[in-house]
Amino acid sequence: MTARSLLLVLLLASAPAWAGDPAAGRQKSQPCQACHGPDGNQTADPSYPKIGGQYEDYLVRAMLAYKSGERDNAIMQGFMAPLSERDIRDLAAFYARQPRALGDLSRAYRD
Amino acid sequence: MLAYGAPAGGPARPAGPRSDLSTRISRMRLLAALLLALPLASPAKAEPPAGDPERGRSKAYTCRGCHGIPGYRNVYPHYHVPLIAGQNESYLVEALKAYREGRRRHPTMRAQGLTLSDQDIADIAAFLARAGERP
Repeated sequence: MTARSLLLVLLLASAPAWAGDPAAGRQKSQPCQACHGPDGNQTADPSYPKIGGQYEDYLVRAMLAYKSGERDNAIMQGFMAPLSERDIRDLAAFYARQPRALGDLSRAYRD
Repeated sequence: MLAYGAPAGGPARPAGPRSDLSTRISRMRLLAALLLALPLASPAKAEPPAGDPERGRSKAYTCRGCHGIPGYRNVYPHYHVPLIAGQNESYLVEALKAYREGRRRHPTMRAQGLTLSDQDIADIAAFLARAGERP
């Protein structure tokens, strides 16, 4: 194995990015709280989603999509614009660890 | 000075046919303006349909294929599909319409959205918002 391919392997292995830091996310969550509430589930208006306990990777994905405009939403794009990807990962880590108000549909058709 | 000074002593000229006409024209203008403004003043035409959770229950059956499997992930890019049971109703309505209309990009969700009317979306959202209530 040449040095170059070894380097490549090391780079790829380390690629799966940094995990978000929930404590840092809490610090950065102040602006989010006005609409989503302190734990992400006391939404100021029913047109805003509950985000507490939502899947972390989905939250990252959604915030990145708002930031890039892939999700066309002026309010969220405005809030995401100044955030780095690390900020977004930290926020997702924080909100994913809040009490969960949401569920999947695995039980919705039981009765 | 006095030559022209004949006082216009007569009584104020009575409203003649000319002023009658101008009054009528300005009234018509006012009426036309009101008529033009009417559509602006009338309540929003597209009143959002009220969702029926019972109808939504059968219409949302397809959603289970992804959102009903605990921990299910989108294939590429790889991430969990969101938890949607118990989500806020009007957020769900807006999200589904955004997928349908391309303001959110996701091929599967757009394909699903394109099959749905506004009423379908309202019904599904009404059901999903209540589906989080667990025994």
